[in-house]
Amino acid sequence: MVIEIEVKGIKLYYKSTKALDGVSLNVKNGEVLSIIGPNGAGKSTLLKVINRVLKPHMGIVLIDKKPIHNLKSIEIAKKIGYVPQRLRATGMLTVYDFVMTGRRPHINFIPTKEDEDKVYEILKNIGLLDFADRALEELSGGELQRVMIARALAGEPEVILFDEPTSNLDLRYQIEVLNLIRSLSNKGLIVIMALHDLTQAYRVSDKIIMLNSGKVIAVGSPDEVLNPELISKVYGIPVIIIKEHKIIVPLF
Amino acid sequence: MKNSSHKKQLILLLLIIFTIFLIPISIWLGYYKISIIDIIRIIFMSDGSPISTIIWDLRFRRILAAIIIGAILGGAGTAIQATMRNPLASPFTFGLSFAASLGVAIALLILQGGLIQRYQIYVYNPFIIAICAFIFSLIQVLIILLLAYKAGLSAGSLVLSAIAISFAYQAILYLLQYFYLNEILVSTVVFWTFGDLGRISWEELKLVSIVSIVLIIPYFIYKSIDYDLILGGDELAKSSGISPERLRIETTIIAALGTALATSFVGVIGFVCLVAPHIARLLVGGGHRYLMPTSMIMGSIILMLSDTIGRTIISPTIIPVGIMTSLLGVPILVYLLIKSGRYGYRD
Repeated sequence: MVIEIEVKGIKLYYKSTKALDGVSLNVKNGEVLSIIGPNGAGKSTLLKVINRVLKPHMGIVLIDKKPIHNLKSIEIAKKIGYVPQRLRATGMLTVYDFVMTGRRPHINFIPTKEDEDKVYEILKNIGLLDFADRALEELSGGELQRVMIARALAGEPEVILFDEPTSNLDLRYQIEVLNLIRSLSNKGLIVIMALHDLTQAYRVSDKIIMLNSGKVIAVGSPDEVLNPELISKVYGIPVIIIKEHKIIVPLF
Repeated sequence: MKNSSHKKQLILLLLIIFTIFLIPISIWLGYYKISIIDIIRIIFMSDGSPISTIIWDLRFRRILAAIIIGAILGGAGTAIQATMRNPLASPFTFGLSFAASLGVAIALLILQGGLIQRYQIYVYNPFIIAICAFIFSLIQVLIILLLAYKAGLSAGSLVLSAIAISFAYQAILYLLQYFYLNEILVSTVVFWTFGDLGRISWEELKLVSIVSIVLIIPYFIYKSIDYDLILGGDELAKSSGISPERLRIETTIIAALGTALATSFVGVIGFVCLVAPHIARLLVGGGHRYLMPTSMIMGSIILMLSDTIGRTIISPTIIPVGIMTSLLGVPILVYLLIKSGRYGYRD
């Protein structure tokens, strides 16, 4: 079981622009860490550095004190699941086939009975059993989001990364996905997600990191990070925070 | 879920049975009539009689060639479509076939790998021709990869520019003919580019079979789940521990090898590699575990049917299989493209 993920001094450039500029953080098992910040702050980039989809120019990521650049890609994939922001479905793949690709780190040749059982179980838990034979192209945004989560869970990860898991969903699905994320962390998984919605971050996270232009502006518990001055400074919009209901309201 | 994979297994099984039944029927059809019983007797026990020669050397050999080359082209088309996430991608539309055919022409004319003599091509060394074809397809692979990665062309523009490059290969081929050859030689080279299963020799067939059974077919089957994975995008593939770049390069090179072998020995056979995957996808869906073998068998069936129709439709004249597949393939392809507005690959 992964106990801790540490990120130290990550710098990453896209051509000449700095996407991440000295980002450090740490998160322990059972915690939900949310990365917040305006568009282009480096949220998605940071997630991709954590599972080594992107290689930083400086800095290291440690899983239980071990640097990930010493691990094989397949080893990282076994530990860290990834739910991208969106999926451009193509090629008439069925939900079942797609979720099975999440087992790839565990599959040597073709899926075994065990792999098939695991996928079946996950589809059942996420409520996707009726969709198993549907092509991805036929699904709605909310259904696709759940399929991507099922795919990540199929790999039985100990850490799971979500890139704006609620941004394409209607209210009911948003709450459903957030509850699911909460239940994953209750099982001891480390959850790291990029989020746009500050109220959601407030309610779900144990820890929040606020980025702006690749720099860490604040890091800590939701109550520490989410204060009106900081938010209006970073987003350029004044906000009111209603602490007893954990609500953040932009003023406009 | 369980039912659907049973259904796919059943479709695959039926296609295999259909292919096996098609073999004696294809042998049976032809200018010289032989009874089915004789055919089955001679397939299992060749006796050196003239009938046995007709069955083995004139008909059975080209049918085996159709099965093997159809499988290579069908599999290569599916693999390239997946790795490029492009429904129009295939060895044919990526210009690999034409690059290989230019390689063959150069091997024949300049390196003198064979001799062209009155509608017959005598090949001294099939290896030189195959190697030359492979080198030229690799050059085309390189161009495709550079266009895709360095120039960052979209799926559509990539196919478009590859088709344009194919015309350049053909132009160079014409140029060679214009400078090097007399009328008879030109007509034989033109005849050669049509694609004809009848010209493959046993030795060449053996070479193609060994390479496909040992390398090409197992590779494509083995990578099935990775092809599913890469359809979800490069980042998703990376997050599951697969290098999309490596998969793409390996796949394209293996596909180029298959195409080069096929083109060296039977000429340009277009459309099989494009049509077979699309028909297979309509039958068993997009999961490569079933799609890959189905595309291969579909390729074999299409090639065998086209060849048999080409041999018998205006018998005793034989229409080369390259022409038949194009004539049959184009309407099917247009139909599939219209349908794939809703399904299939999207940009």
